Amino acid sequence: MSTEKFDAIVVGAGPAGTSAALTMAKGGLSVALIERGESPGAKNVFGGVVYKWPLEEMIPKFWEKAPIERKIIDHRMVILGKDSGFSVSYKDDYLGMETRGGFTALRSRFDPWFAQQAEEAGATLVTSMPVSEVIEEGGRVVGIRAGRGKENELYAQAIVAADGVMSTVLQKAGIRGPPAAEDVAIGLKEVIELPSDTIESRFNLKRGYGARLDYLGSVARGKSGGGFVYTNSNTLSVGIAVLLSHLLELRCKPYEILDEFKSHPVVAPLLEGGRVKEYQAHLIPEGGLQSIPPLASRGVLAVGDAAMLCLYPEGTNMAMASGVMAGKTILESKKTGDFSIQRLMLYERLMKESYIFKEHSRKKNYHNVLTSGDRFNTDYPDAITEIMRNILVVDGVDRGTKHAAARKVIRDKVGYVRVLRDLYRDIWSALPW
Amino acid sequence: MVSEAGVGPNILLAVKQVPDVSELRLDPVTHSLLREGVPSVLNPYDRYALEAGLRLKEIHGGRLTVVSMGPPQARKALQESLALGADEAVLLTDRAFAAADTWATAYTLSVFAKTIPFNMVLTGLKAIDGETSQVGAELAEFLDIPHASYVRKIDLRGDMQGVTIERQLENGYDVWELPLPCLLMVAKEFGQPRLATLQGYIRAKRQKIRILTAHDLEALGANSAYFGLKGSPTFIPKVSPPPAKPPGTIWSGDPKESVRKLVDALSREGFV
Amino acid sequence: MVNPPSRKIDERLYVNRYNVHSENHLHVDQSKCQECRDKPCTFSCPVDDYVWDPELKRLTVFYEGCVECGACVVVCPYHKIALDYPPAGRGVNFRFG
Repeated sequence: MSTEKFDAIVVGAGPAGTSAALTMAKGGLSVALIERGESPGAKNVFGGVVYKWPLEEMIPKFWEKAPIERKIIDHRMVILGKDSGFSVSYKDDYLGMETRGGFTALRSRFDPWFAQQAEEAGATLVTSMPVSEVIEEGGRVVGIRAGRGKENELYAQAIVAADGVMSTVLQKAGIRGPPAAEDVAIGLKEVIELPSDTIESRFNLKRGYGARLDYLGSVARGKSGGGFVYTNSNTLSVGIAVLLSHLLELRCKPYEILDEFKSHPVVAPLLEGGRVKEYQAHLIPEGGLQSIPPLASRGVLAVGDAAMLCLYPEGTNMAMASGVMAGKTILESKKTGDFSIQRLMLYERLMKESYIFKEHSRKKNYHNVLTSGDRFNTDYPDAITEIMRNILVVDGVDRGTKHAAARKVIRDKVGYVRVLRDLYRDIWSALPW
Repeated sequence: MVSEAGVGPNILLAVKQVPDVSELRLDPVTHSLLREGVPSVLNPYDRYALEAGLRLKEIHGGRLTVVSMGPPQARKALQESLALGADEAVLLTDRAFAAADTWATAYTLSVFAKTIPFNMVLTGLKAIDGETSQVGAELAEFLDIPHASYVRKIDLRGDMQGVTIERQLENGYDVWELPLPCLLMVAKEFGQPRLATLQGYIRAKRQKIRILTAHDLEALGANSAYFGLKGSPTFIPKVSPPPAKPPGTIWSGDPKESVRKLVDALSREGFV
Repeated sequence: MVNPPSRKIDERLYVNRYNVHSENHLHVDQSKCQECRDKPCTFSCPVDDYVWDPELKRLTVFYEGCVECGACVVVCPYHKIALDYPPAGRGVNFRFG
């Protein structure tokens, strides 16, 4: 039957793959975008926020037509103690204009819309088709298989691996193995239904605008983990993430941590009366810079989660940006007719000069903080709780005494030197902002 | 119209795009199915009919045309049929067709069917949303051809003059001979439907789906008074859930003890 | 006797949309399970797909509830679990995601 060859095969129609496919299709390339879910987004899980950049570069004024849940104007960071919460928040209508502060989305709605843009630009979207093998010839990957027989083979000049953190393409091509338990967090999320009015009054929001609440500290029994509550139109995305290697130390079920988070006195009132509509789980790349596999290797360009590009709390933007750069690289190859492995290395150069690598380099200590940063999950939250309780309870003891006690708490629990070092270095890796 | 002998059968297959059953909700006021926001899939029973059509095509050659009446989203069901190997897909779509009952649906499908040559019409046994199992038989009546339901095996004569079929019964099966053209409602006992291939999907993406509106069908001689809601004699006054079954009994604890209780209960009820 | 998956997980999975494939897509080579001390698959799986039967010394795999996250593949200390995605869009299909 047909033995036609595409310019590019993109495996995975998530934000990264669709960005690559859209970029190439706009440039006139023949692109097959292959998705294993029944529709794009059907197999995907994320926290819930998509960012203006770089989506706007691909689809100008997307906010007028994309399936946006809520435009985020309220960013809250909460450090959880065992029964308490210390929050910092920033609220600004400016962030809501043109979705400057990002927007919440549901993958089953956003991804099909986004993939449709790629289709309209000329990409061929195929769904319900898990890619199971790569086809190799002369030391490079020249095609993929999605089942048995010739009818399930497809060939292309270049392959984009956008098939997520467990990337079949990269594993089958021998570019990387499954991620290590230290390099991924397991994320669990529930979509909880509440009337939109309730969400608006409970989170103090105007219609169409939303809040994102990111929780640090005592989320995962003293281990590295975080929680979140994001507002959608008439649902909340509520979840936790815990480093998989730490879960192995805890030896507990991941949903026990989700249950603890949901019943935390600071979180529970926000969810009250809500009905769980869906329960999801996914692995999140958390390995940082050192876990990134060869980005352009053997004719395969790795993008998004497949390339382990994710830095808490950002992921979709990096996925999209890497997809765009992979797309541009293949466009360049098409222009010159040179799809050689060397030529495709352009992608790696583009990536190394990009925002993504700047961020990953800036947070190069992130992974260390995650794996060894018990003080962020236990010592600091405990100290904050002790200090704040002591200060905020008016009991006739003068503030001078209380401040002295606070200093003693810091000295005993963490130590001044540690605080200074953390302020100078690690805190910037641990915080989402 | 009936095609000439010796060139393989022309098979017409009617399919339906249905809401995924796990998502079904009823509108409390109109008692009709709420389809919005509910993912739609190719009616699972139609997959067996499609499989039957594809196997006949493999043996005898010929041409398999798939038709569906439904909203524009029904393209997805048709595209899947193309991906699996159908030759042509036709979508009858118009607001005027909306809310059709089985009679109006069968009528509308028959108008199209009469415009193409066919030796055989295939349908699924029923659709998982309405579960009426009526459209196939009604379509046969509109086309004035014999039909059989619960079809699990089809042996088409090479001269295209007749077909021997097996009908699945509760305790066995019937063997029938039917003249052609006829309509067969295929049961799931026909056999496991195949999965689409990657190349099949890509070809399907490039095939055009022929669209026919109410206007187009009128031009083919249809009476528009028989379309959609206004053409539907069925009236649903009320939808109520089936009466709840009495709760089952669970014996837990020691397996031997539980089995003894189960045997006791079964013999009490006269089952053993 | 095999312990059925906990009630809580059943309740959670009930709301999800599955189109269960007839074949198991979680391939476990059980040759190392007995000597595996922690059996991390039995507690890391977010949907309790893996249940160890201490009597039969065997792992029971309830692939039907799998959300295809891959945690089992990552945590298996002997790398004996392989996740093949179910074909034709089968398996979990998130309605929200």
